[in-house]
Amino acid sequence: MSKINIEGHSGLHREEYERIVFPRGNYAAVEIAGDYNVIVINAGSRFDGKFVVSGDYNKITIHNDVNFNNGILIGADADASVGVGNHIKCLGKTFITRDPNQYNDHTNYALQINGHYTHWEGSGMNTKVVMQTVASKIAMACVIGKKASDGASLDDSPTQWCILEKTQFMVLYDGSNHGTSKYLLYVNGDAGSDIACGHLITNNWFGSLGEYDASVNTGQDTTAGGGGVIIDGATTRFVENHVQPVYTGGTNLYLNGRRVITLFNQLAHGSSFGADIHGDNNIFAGNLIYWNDGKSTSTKPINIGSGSDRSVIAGNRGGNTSSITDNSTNSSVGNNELGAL
Amino acid sequence: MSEGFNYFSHQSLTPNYISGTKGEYENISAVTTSAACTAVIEASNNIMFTGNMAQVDWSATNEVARKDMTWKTGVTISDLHYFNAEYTTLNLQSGVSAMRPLLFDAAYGSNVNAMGGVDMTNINFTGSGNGTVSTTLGDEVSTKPYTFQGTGYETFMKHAGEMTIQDANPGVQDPAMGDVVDGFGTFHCGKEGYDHMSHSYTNHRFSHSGSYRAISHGGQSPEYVDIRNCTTKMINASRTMSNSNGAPASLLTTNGSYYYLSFLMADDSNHPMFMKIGGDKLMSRNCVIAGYTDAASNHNEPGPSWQNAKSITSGFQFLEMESSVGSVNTNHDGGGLGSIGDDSLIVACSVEVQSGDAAGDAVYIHSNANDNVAYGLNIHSNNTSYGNVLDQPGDGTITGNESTT
Repeated sequence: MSKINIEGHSGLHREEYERIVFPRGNYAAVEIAGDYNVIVINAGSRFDGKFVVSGDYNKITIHNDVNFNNGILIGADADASVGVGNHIKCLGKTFITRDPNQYNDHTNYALQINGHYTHWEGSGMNTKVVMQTVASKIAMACVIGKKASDGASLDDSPTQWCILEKTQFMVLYDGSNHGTSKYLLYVNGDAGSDIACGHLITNNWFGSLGEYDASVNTGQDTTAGGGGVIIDGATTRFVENHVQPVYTGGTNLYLNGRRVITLFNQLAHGSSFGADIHGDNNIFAGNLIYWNDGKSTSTKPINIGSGSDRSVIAGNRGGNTSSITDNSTNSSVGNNELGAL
Repeated sequence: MSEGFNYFSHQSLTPNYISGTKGEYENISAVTTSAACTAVIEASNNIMFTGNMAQVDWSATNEVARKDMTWKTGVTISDLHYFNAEYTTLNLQSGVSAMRPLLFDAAYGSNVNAMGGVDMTNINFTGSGNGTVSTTLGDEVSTKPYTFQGTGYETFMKHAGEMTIQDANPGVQDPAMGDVVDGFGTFHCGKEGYDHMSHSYTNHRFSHSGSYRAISHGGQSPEYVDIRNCTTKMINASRTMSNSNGAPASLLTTNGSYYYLSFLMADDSNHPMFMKIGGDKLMSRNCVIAGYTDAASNHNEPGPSWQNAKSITSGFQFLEMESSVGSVNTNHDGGGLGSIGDDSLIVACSVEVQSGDAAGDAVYIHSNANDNVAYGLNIHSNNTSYGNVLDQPGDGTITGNESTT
């Protein structure tokens, strides 16, 4: 009798063109090294070791109530050509995090996407990628094209053509220390932020949801610097996301890549810029940048740095101040509605 | 090499096998009683329903959280389904016919995933708020949102029957409303006064018992709801819901904030408005209104679909289509897109209104909507005086729009 399903297990999977089912249970580290598998992770499963997908073109469906307690790596730490074309789809409550007791001193990620053509598809706000702050350490909920060994980019061969959608990303205060720097999402490109990466980042939620409450600043206020979302990778689309929380110490959306298109996002901002644009040829339009930290009345919702040439910033609603900062060259900046919300 | 097992053999030999066995699903061929459903849900985890179901979790007290149910191709349901457990995930395979209401009563964190051509009449996400934010890295971190996602326009959220006839007498209401005979709305999230399930009049299922969860306390709207990728349709909006003097909307009816609508299409739908929303911070993106069809003369005059403060409507395609070729006996002449709250945006939308009149404007920025942005709109209409952007407050950025006949 032929076998139709292969039962998933901890450790290395080298199968190809198979259907692998992980029954409900607890697992240690898992690596999917084979290609072209259909993989089902049953409801109620727990992965206490790292879940690594180093094979290519696997389709992984994650059912309800599955926890990844020691992170997920799609690809390899320093090579974007490993683990390409995988599609990970969540169906319900999914939780991806790391054990703070195992943080290194450099860079700690819950979801590390390094393989080309990765399609990460959460289930909506119930797919949560969460990191917790630890004193003197760096925590990032999600990175694309970034090495864990030293936190650097993949240099001249950056990760390209990924889709990241329908997922909630958070970095939370641990109750005693805000840690060093922290990011909800860090998208690396090449060192010059010039090589087209072609990522689509859409329909995500960044930060702990819930309206900002000045009296409850422990869970939402990360005063130690860093920021929300950093996009260094060029030719990336950041569309229809909601950056909800307050990062009072940093910029919520920092755009360093060239030719980045940023459309129709709701962006909250704190004591630094809501959006800080430094790459050339950016398009930033139709965004709502709303102020929800009363610590400063002079912080601009948008800053366009001197390094940005020929960008278009139009049709945005920016809060807090009646003007934005524009030090760029040959940019088209206009038709924005600015001022206190 | 791991030891495998034969999924199909497993299924055929034990069609009603319920246990925590290893495998992809625990298969249930049919459940026809509430007790059987409850037993299945309590005993299993990945549950595959393969037959007709009378009721699922029709229980006031049973709240078994975090279950994952898959309704296999061919599943039908013959009664309203009531879910009261948090983080319930419902996966509907193509070919499922769920032509009765799916009611989630304070079942926060629930997901409905409809894959392919699934037929439904409506989904009711109810509850109050749900914005609990934890400061610890626990299992309950942040909020517990609701999510519905289809796969595209092939996923249908449509009434087969008309809206229930309005009657001011509670005693004559139909407690079965919301099925194939009586329309109920499509995505209905507890807007007080429009909620047949929960309002206080008698003869409604949930008003009889206090043992149901939030639904028994009146129409309460949850926050953080994500609805995407399907076609919606309502029939005969001239008939409004009982006791409310109102009518639900084709895309969404709610009083809550933080709603995310994406890739929805109201196709050939008859509705007074396509969104009826009480809260702020809506994100409506890439939705389509493909026709408002009402050949009868007694239709409710459609009005603008208002968004409130700090909302964004983008990529909206508003098409007023003809009910038949050459006939313009179909109209949204009472208004199209509207903004009634401060600091909102309507950007990069396309509006096509061929039978408009002075009763409404294609895009309406209400006098209460200060500091709005309406930018990059392309409006094609029969008359540019009302087929245009009406800017009542005059203090926003209403520019860069094109209006032609």
